[in-house]
Amino acid sequence: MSSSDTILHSEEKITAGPGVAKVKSAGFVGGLILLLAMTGWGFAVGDGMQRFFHGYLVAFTYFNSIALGALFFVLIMHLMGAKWSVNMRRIAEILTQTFPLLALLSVVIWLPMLLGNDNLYIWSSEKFMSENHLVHAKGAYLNPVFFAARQIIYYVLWIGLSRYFYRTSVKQDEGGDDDATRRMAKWAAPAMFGFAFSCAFFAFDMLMSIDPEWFSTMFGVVYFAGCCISIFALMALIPLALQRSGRLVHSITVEHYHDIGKLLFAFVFFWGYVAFSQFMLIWGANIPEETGYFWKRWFESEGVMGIWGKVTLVMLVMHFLIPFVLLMSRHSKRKLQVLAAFSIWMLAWHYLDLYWQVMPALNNHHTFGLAERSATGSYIPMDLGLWVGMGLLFMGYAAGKFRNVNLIPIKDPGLKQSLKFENQ
Amino acid sequence: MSTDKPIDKVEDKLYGLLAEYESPGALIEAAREVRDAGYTKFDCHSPFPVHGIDPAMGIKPTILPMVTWGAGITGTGLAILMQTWMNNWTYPWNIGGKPLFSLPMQIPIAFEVTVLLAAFATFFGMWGLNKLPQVWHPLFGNDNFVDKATCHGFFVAIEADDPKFDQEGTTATLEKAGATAVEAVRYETSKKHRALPNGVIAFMALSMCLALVPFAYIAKQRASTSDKPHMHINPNMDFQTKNKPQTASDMFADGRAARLPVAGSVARGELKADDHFYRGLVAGEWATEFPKEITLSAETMERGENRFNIYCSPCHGLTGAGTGMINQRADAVGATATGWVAPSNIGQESFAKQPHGQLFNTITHGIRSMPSYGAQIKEADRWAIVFYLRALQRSAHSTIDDVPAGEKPAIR
Repeated sequence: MSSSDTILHSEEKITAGPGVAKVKSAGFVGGLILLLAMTGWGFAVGDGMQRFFHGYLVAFTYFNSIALGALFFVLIMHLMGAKWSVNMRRIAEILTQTFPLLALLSVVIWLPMLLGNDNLYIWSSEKFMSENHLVHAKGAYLNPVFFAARQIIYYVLWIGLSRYFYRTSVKQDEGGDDDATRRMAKWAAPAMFGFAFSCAFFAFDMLMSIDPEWFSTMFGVVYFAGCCISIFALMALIPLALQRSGRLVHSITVEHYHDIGKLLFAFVFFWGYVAFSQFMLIWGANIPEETGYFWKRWFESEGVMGIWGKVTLVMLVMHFLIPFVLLMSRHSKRKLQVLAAFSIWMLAWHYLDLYWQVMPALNNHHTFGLAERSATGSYIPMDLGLWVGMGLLFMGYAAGKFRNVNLIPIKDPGLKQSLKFENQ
Repeated sequence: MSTDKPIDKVEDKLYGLLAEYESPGALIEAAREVRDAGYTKFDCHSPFPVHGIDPAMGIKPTILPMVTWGAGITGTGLAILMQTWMNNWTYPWNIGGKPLFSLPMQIPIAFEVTVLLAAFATFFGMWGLNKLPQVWHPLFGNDNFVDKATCHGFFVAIEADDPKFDQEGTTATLEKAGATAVEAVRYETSKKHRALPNGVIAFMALSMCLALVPFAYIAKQRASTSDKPHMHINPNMDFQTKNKPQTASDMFADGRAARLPVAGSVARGELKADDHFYRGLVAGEWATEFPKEITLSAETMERGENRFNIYCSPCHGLTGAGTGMINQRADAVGATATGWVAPSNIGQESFAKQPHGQLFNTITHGIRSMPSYGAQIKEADRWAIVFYLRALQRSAHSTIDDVPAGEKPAIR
């Protein structure tokens, strides 16, 4: 392998500037202040903690989907031996380094439950489990201790995988060990199995169990689609931001963005495909314990569409139809302003997708009445505050990981091909 | 057929010049030089798609994606039309109580037809745009081309029709662009040369005939009768191991396959746990307030009036005084004398004093000879009627002072 100077442009800046330190401290300070303020609000108001935990779950699964998407990006590119994406892979590798923060944030979900708080998952209430015959058999799986144990297993796996691929790749920067690429490709295969199972079961545990009577084998795939949407949106936005600050300006071209745009487009459709498949089978079969989930997310009372039905339609249009039609053209993917706009667009609607999955479950905690609907009114700033706060914290933590590391795998044997990559 | 030797047939014509290059890189370079030299009628041939050949040759972006898009949209529309036509008009069939036009169930078919038409349009559109199939293409007469073009040869062919074509100058251009060999390609102009081989014609004719066999068989079966039982192509579906209603089963003590729901089952949405809303009771007493689900608005009042006029006014009359058409008729035929219980005047003092819940209960279950309306009128509408009754009761005791000053002359 020749030295980096001959492959990369001679004036290329491949390390992050001093700006990331500012982002890091600003993110940490702003994020912690917001999160603490929201916690205070939750404690201060009557049933505020119930709402706090639901809003927290939405925000947490949102940022976890970014890290999971990044891990998937790294794994799939190694597994397929993809060359075009080599110049962008390091950015995804750096994003996977956020798992320790997410592991810490996940404690807020399961620790209160172990201490007997049943504000979030109704199955963590012993009264509910003993009175509700539909979920008796699920008790062996849905209990706080096993739930916490599974979370720990997931994060041990994800932190282990992300560290292995990150460190091997960074080490390759020094020595230029071509064999490292082969080793990573080899380990990507079993790692992908681990990723697939852990991602699906994480979604079952965190999001699907919010409605414990309901079940869908498609559910993990829908969450996975969200992971992919968020990472491909960020894989357009982060390099664009780095290039604006003068990094990697010669190494990432419109050709690479075009491919990221194709993947974003593909997963916009994939999301629509799996989300609809999940709905259609349940709608067609019309079995009460399955339809309850969608009933809650459509009707306000018998035959009357409620707020969640409107949200569902908004998602159909905003999360699927509009980006599907407008991202289809080659031109919209190669025009970087348009691609960036759609990336931000998708990141926003991905939040609503998770919000739509979690929030109607607030109903579970009140007596079941048809005319009742969840209080979506006054607490919305709390949900958004948790999202923004956790986002700042996540951004600050991720920015810290961008320091002291090359933003491009300079000694990867595929880099030369990657830099020359052109779409047909 | 090698073109080095002179061809001694009169119909021979020069197709153009074929130049060979060593690598994909050389091919791109050559294509660029040929394009820059001003040639328009030329093509490049390689065993695999060479990245960057399109701009090198100066080929405009293809319109194929638009063809695909158009066909895809057509597929979506046609599939939905087809299913609507089948489900709503030609073969309407109630499936699980779902509406005849059920968009969710149409989506999979619409999706498949979209993909099918888009794929066909892309595939055959590509053929059309490339003027395929060209089984008689002149280059197939060149041995060197046939040997290498699909495995390791990279060729540029310039047609003799090109306005800039002249054999010596064009040869020089191609050689200057790095060709390892340049040769002239000739072809026979006679139609006979372009005819399909007999074997191919025979194969096509035979497969067409074979394709008709299933249809012929179906036609024969439909036109004739048979005393044999019909075939079971899929016995798993024809003989399912399941119990149908009204059949026997050894599995249960009473020998019936049909089972009742578990004791105490409540259908989803039928629990009606809210005593106030569903029964007009608060802690076992008649409710004196309206339930929280009912908004006391002009809209509710109008709804109550509307329902009252439909369900109640035939007996109680439009003013609630008990003078409805039915009562008038009963009086007219003398039924009052034979035991007809006249409908109550809703405006009277004793009803005005009844709590809301009691009036609601009366509508639900009826009283004396008044029948129950619980089955016809939904809860929310019953509450709206109670709301309207309060207005009627107030109007029964109204005086001229209740009329706005401006309206008084009209009443006199």
